[in-house]
Amino acid sequence: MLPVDLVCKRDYFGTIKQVVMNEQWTAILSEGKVALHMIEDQEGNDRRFPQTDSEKPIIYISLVE
Amino acid sequence: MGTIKFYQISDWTEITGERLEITKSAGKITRLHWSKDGSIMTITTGNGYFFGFLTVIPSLCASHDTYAALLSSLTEISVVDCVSNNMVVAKANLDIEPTFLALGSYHFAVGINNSIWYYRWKQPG
Repeated sequence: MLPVDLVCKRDYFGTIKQVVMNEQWTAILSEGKVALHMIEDQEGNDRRFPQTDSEKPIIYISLVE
Repeated sequence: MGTIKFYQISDWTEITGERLEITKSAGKITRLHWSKDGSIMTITTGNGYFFGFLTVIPSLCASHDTYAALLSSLTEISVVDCVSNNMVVAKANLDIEPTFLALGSYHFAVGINNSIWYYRWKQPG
């Protein structure tokens, strides 16, 4: 059995609708907005989407490897 | 010493598969109570024991590649290898009872409301 470690614990801006992950990155969809960051990054240097306020809310996300 | 039997009211037959045997050390069952919604049953016994049983178990699972992750207990995640007869390759105890679960190549994420806990279950390489 492999040992399991907690590598990151984060609070986001609203109720989380969807979480997607690949080897290194995770994206979280919450209230029409997306936060993208490296899984093992506790700091909070997230890429945010949509990149401008005027764009429509995001309803679904997917991540490739 | 203590056995709990469940009967279906449609035909008064016992649902034998659901029978519960209470450990002898607990003594005789003295009281039994159901919650209003039927999700929790509790009993007390002569030797001062209290048992709570859940009839509704939350179901949570995710898959990635040839692995599956599932909620194996209220605050426990197990990762199984589907090509190795569903052998449990990793297990983690959580601080919370999660409402969502995601599985990646090396990590799994569990969360509730606006919080996510990321665990690494496999080392890269």
